[in-house]
Amino acid sequence: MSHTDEMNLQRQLKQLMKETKPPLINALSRMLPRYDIDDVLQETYLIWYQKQQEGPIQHSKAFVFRVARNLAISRLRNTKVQVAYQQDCALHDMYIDTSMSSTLAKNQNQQLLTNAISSLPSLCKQVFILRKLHGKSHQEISHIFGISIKTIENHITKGMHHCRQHITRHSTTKQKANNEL
Amino acid sequence: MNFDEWVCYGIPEHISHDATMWLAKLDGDSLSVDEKIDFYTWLADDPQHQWAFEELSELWAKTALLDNLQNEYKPLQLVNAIAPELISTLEEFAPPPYQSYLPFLSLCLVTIGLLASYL
Repeated sequence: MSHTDEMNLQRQLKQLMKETKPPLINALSRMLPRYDIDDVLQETYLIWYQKQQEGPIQHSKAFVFRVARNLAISRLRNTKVQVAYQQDCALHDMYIDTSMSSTLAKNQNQQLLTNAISSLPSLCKQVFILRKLHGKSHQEISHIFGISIKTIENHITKGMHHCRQHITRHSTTKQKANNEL
Repeated sequence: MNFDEWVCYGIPEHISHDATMWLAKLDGDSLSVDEKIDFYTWLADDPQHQWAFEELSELWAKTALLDNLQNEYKPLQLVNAIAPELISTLEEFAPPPYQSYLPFLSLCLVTIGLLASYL
């Protein structure tokens, strides 16, 4: 890499940091303590820099946001959940090999999402199922139920909100993380 | 399936609500140019907007993989399930029963009127 290339890259990084650092600190402060935030940010910009050296990144801002979020989540998981999780799993792992336990977890998660959708109010559930499982368009659903497109959007919004809450409430890992925060 | 990454952890409720709203709109694929600009502006506005939207999109995509739900709701059952609701909405819009007698009634009145004028 030539000297001018490097200068150019430095300038881009400076500009990117100027744009993204304040909102990232603000957003990350809801998840992590201050010293963790600094670590996450440093690592984020380092990853951006390395990738950018390989070839230009299309949407730098979005890229940086996503990397920071992933780092923050994995950090959360490591520090807050690991201990509790390991204690939990120590007993399981003696009997169940990993492939089986991951299938088990997958089924449990599927069941969780299925339960979430099953517990939606009637019309909301029908809209959800027609859209996601029968692949009907909003237009088609609008004809079937005689409701407006706007109403369908509202049902989907409501349904997703409900699913997310259901999952958050019932996901055991999350509960542990929340308790320890 | 790992839900931890798709439930907008640590993101304020109003943001995930807005993200779901955009998701539903985009799913309908009927956004105007102005709305599209609004959407991209909103998305770039705050990292939390992007996080919420991406994570909920993931959740939204995964719901299509629930084969056990698919078995639970066959199209035929679906029709049965929606029928009562359809009927109740149709009844709301149906004319009250006396309306069907109105033409007959008016004809009678006209006849009586004509007869009265002859007498």
